[in-house]
Amino acid sequence: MAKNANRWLYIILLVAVLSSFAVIIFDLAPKKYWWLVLVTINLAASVSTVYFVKSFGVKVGLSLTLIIAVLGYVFCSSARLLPFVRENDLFSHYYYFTIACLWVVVMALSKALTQNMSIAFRTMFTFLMILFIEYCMMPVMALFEHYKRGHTEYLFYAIQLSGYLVITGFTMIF
Amino acid sequence: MLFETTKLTRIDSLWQGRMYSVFIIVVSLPILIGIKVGHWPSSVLIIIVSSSILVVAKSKERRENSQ
Repeated sequence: MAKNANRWLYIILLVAVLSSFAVIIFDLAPKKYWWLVLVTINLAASVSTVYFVKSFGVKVGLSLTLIIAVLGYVFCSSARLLPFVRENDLFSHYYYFTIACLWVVVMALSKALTQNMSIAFRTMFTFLMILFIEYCMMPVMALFEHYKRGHTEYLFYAIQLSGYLVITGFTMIF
Repeated sequence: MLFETTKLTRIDSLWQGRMYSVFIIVVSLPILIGIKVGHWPSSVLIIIVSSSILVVAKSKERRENSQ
């Protein structure tokens, strides 16, 4: 029964991803409501929680997920690290929660994809993957925030993305 | 991207194999949004980097399995 529950969670994730792709590609919803796409990241975080539980055991896996999520949430929400979030309403806290979920996903991915490598290569690869995924998802959240405020130009996306890419390039070089 | 991943990933009940599709899901959201928004060079760059990450991970795993 537990196996079936985990498989159904995976199938729900795939269905949610396909529906969000349909929303993006065919313009089913106005762009103000595209932040519903972020729900798929939360589902991916639950799937990666299942992966942690499978690989470490129930106690250690759940506590690891909780530690990563709570640290990300507290760090983002108390230090105001996101420059595009101006207000303090429910949606901004949803952004913080989504970023914490994204950290859980990234940790699970870096464990799963680098499981058979040597230690040095594993460290480098994990570093690269964390930089890549975080810096690709941040401008999307900035774009959703600007849609919510009523700015429908795409200039913010380009500016944020080019800034993050420049930062990533300098980090890699040095 | 989907064709390459269906060629590369084997469909099995292991959760390590399912995390590859989770990686593709997380990465393909900014690709699609970049294309729809009109900032297509970013999505091309994301496709190149993510496919290289997938290929490196799968090649390392295969070498380990063959030994």
